[in-house]
Amino acid sequence: MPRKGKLPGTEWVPDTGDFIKIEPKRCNGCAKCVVVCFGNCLGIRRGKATVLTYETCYECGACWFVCPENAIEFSWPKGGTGIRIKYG
Amino acid sequence: MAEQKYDVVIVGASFGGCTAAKVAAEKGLKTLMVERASAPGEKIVSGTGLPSLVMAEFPWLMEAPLERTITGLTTHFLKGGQVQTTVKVELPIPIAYGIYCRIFIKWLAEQAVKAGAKLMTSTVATDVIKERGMVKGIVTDAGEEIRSDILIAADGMWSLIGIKAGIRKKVAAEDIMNGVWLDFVMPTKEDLDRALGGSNLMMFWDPAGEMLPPHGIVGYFGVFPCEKSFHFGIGTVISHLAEKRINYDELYRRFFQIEYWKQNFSQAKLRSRMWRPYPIYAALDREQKGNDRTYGNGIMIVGDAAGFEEPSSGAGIHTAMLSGKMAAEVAADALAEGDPSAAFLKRYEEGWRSSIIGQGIKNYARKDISRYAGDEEQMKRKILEVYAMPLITASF
Repeated sequence: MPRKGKLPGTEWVPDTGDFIKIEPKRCNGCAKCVVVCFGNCLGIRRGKATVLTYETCYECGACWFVCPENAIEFSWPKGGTGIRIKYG
Repeated sequence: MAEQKYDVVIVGASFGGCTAAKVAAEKGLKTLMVERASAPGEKIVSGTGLPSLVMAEFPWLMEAPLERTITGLTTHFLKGGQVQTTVKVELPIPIAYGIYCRIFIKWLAEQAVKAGAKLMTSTVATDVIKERGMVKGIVTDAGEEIRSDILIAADGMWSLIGIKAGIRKKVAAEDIMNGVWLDFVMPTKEDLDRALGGSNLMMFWDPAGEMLPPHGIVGYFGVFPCEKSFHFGIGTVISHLAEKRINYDELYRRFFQIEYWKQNFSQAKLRSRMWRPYPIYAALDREQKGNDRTYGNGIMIVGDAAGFEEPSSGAGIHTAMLSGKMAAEVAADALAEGDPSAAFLKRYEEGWRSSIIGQGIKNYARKDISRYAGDEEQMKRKILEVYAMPLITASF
């Protein structure tokens, strides 16, 4: 069931599954993905990028596009889950 | 479970996908749209401007839920943190219509369904089925196989399906802009009319690069009006964003100090802050590098998935809808001939190249801009020439 999103003008449906996967062996810790994420969904832990939350993810894929090492595997949240945008 | 088999399966029920589905269904093809959202339209962030030229191609759009008719273009040129000059172009005919995607796309999908297409929501296409070099359908996140004679990937600029099918690659970070849109609402429509000085689309150009981050940006702040609300936003190329750590909040805070804004838009109430990557020049790159194609054996890709965008204005709705229509028409011809191979579907690529999609790409080759990378003055002049002027003149 959708609930009020943490971002204004959105709803959010949980149980998205891990749709952003980061391969730690490939990640060089450059943090470009962290910088381009307007939802602050990513962070660096022990020198490697990691997903902190999906609740503020716009499913924009900027992290995936920007990764110079192809360490990020981006797919979609499970059908019907994730963000719902009211004023798009 | 009974095997599901369609003439045409379309991944993505947005501008391109719904148009393709409607046209395919009208041509009598057994058509399925597969949409990852629970309802079409709920995942989309847009500039909200539907270019009026789509009306000539799709007259039935006059019935669509359009929020506002936009009849002109007001361009403010900024200097020293203020509006210095203003160029106002008003036209006797609409240049665009303000829309909200959640409402508009829902309606568009309904038109496709009315025409006979089937819509499957809350379903992610996770992979393509390939047999002897032919794309033969998709696999869903529920593990189902849905078979198609022709697959149309209308899955946006990410086009995970186009990539899985092996006909295109991930777009490079320097070819994508991430736009940050703010949605504002005014107390009444009249208040917005007054602020706009009519019903114009409003752009704030920053030719000296004082307010916008330097290069890599598509150089304007734009106000895209709906009935009593509007989108306001800018975009920055993702690779640039990663290097410069641009603080959008600070950028907007500075913008909202402009006297013109304070005088006219002080009543605007912020409802939402959204972002979305858009392809820029992706199609140009394809032409230059000769890498990706928009078709393959049993598959075509349309809209943002194919990198279609009018490079002068950044508009992508009309290119998505037109390419969706073209792909559906080629699909119908291919199936009538019993030949869904790449050799036949090549007609789709030939078709869009000779249409306004291809012309737009040809006219504004990216190399014209990047050639001036070392020369700021030349670059600024070129940005204005290549991006601002065509938008204004194309409106006539």
